[in-house]
Amino acid sequence: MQISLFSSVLWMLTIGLLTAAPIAKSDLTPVKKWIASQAGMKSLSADFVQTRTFRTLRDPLERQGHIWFQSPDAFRWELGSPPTQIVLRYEDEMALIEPKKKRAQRLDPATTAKQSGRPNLAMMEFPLATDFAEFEREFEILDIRIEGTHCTLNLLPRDPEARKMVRDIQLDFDSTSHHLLAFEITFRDGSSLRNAFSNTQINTPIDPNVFGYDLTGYTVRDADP
Amino acid sequence: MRILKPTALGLLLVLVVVGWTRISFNVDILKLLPDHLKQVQGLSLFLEHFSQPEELIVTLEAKDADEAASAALALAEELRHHPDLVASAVAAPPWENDPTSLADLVAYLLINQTPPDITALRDSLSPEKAPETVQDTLAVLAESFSPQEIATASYDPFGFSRLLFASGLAPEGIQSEFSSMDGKFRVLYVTSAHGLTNYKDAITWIAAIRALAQAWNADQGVTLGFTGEPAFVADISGTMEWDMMSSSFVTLFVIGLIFLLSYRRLKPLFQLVLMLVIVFFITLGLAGLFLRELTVIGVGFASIMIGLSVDYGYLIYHRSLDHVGSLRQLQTTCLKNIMWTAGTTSAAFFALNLSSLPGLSQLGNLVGIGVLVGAAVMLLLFAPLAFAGTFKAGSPKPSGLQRRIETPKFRRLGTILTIVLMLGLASVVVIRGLPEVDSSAKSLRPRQSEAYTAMDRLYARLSDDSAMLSLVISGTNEAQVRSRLEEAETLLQEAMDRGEADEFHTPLMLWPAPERQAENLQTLQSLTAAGPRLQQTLDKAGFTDEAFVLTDAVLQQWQAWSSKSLPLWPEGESSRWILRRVASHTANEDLALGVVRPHPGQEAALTEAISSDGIFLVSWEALGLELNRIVPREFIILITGLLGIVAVLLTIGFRSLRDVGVLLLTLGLVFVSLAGAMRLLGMTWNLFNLAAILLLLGTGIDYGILLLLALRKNGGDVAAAQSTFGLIIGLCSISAITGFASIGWANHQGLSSLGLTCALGLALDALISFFLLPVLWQLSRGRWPRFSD
Repeated sequence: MQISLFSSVLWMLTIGLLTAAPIAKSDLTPVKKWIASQAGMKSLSADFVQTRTFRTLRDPLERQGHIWFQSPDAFRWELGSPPTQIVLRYEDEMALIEPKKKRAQRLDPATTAKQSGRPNLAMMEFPLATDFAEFEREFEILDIRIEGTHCTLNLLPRDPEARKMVRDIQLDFDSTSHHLLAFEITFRDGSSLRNAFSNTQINTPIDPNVFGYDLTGYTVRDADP
Repeated sequence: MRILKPTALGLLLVLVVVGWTRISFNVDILKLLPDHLKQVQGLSLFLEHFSQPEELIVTLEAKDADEAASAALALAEELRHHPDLVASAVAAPPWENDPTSLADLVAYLLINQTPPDITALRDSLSPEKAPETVQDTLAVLAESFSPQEIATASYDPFGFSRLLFASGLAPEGIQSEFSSMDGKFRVLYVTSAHGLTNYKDAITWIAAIRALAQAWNADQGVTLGFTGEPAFVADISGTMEWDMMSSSFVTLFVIGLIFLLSYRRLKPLFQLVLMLVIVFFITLGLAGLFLRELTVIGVGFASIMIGLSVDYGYLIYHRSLDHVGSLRQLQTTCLKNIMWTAGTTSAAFFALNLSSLPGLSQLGNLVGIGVLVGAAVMLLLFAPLAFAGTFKAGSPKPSGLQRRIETPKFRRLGTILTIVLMLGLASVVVIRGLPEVDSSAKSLRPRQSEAYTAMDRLYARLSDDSAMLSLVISGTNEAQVRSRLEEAETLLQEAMDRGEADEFHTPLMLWPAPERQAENLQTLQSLTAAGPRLQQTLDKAGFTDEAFVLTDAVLQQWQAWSSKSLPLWPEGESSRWILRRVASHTANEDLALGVVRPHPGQEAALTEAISSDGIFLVSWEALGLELNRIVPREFIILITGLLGIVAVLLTIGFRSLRDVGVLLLTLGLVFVSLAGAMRLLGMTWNLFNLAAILLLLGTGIDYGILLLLALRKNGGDVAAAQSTFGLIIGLCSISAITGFASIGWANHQGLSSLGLTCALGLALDALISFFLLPVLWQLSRGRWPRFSD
């Protein structure tokens, strides 16, 4: 199993946008401010509900999850309650863990970045973009709408591999709390994935043990070459 | 006698016409190489079965990915509007818009699995287990991080197609045989509506497709390239025609020019040119009786043969100028010299048959026949014309060139300059060493080919597999190939354990296993009627009807196959597209194709270790290495043998070891000078120009023989000997050099290097034979050279 662009985009956006600065009513100034604000982020913790819809399923599928990030390169993303999928990174080590199946796969952050087709889009790359120009090189901004305190940004990745799969990326912000409310990726086949965030905490201390995991008794597979 | 002559001529004419109608061009460079070599056998199988002879690859490059993608689709659509030219134009995987078209491949892969796996699959779809299987799929859909796993599971909730992805057949990313990683480089596969039976068909068809594509591109501005097997055929055979015709005309033109300068007479010139044209037609016609196809090396024969055959014409004409006596006497006088020179020259060229390179053998046979035909035509047809012409016109005044050759100053200056040149070139060898040996397969390739350029670009932009070796496995039936595939996998795994290989991929998973197919189809029969139940299970779990399409198609395929004879192959369009590059099966032969990445520096050991009956590990680089291991050794044996034969013949002919020694020493000086000149000009030895040594032995020695005969005839009078043969040697060498040099611009690098090396060698040979041989001859008799009248 590979952590590919799909998940890379997803995590990157989560980490990047949970730290968003308020989006102004006009032009792209809010986005520029948000990019600039990332430099000050040291840690992040948030709950989320992930909703996936498919053309071949009548009803959406929902899972709860949590994300932690500690600057410069530690994070933990877990899905399910109790978690069924965990992606863990600490410094140069990275793993995909499936507690229910008692198995894990080591991942090479560098290779994972390459496999996404865009090294700077990989989830371990933070900050997302050093400046707005770089952000624009990565994404095409299609639309920005603001209704009350609710701000919606529509994007498309410029990477051809991602564009082949993704029809649209939508980000929802609250311009008062400066937090990301949700983001949604709609795929070419009509399926979609939406993460709605709550309980976002920025720059609060995180227990270092969060970024460790005991793999005793697990079947561990090495990273694919 | 009156009837015999026209009958013989008529018969010859018929044979020549029949020969001409049979002959064609063959651009396959493997036809130039020894077919007993494992690399040649494997590559021949590869090209024969996997090169797609009627598939043109059109490459398309744009500034951005979207533009490239839409342009590729638009061009494919445009080409499909011409069904008279195009059978298919494919710009995207056939299954991209219809994933269910892979259903037969999925069904096929499953029945090739081990029976316990298939029993487990059947059990997972039993009335008791099917709901649980579907719940597992829902968990994957809700939790997996893998986009591929999610996409697959949503359309294949029972997991039939997992094997397809495990086999690596379905690419994960955008990069594929249709697109580069960045999407800016796209590839179209265009198939001809009609069979391309010969190179002229290929040239015409490619030109038509190119015209359509370029007209379409007039308002698009993308960069187009054309490659693939028909493009190679069109490119190379087109230049072969040009190489043969242009080099022949240039040789004829230069010959005419120097004849005119030397003798200042037009009529004998036209007669001589006519004779050469006749020689060319007869030779190619006779060759056509036993050769069906001219190779890229064989086409070089025309100009070489013209350049050599004209020598006999020069000799006859020169002799006719001061001949006193009958025509028969003129012919008899010339016969002796012509027998010597034509004999040694044709022997040297026929000796190329002893080489294991069929390309060189063909060249040798063609030139050898040409030289003998040339000698006969000149003696039988040209001699009467020359005799009659000079009888009527009388002898012309000696030309300025002839007068100059006869002066002591010319001979002294020539000798000094030749010594200086030879010493200079010899010191280059001492200081910089012998010319290097080029062990790559470069000499097998054309110098310029748009098709090669486009293919190199395609390799660079898609996946560069130039370092990979192709694993070709052949057998008489599916079972034998499967058994060899299993053997190859074992050998390759052992090679990986030894560190000789880094990775390998074989099509074992795709290859039919008849016993498994029989058992698994039996096991799966109970499922073929379970469609409604399985659909109901999906419906209960919340899936739509769309989720059942693939499952239904696979079940139906198993049902359809239950009455078919084994072994089974998938036959859908998508399956055929995937299999065409990895499997080939005909009534008499089955082939499988895989790839192996050798560990750097271990290529030779790996190739040796994997070699087995019907198992070939091949690449062009490995071919180059194998050829360079075998061919130079062969040439050394051949050259040594020929040198021995020549020495014996000369000893018998001259009855003087001293004279033979002088001749061999002269040859030695020629070879040392050639090595120095090649080193100085940055030329290298390769598979083809090694034959130059052999040819110089046969043709270059003629100048020495002529001078030695003249020296003996004139009682050691150097001035008289050089005056007698100076002009002849000059004319002969210039025409032969022109013949060889004119193939120096041939598109085939091997042929070109052979032509240039021979031309250089002959030039040095003429100089050294003419100016230094008399010096050596005098020294051998204890006389110090003098340059008097």
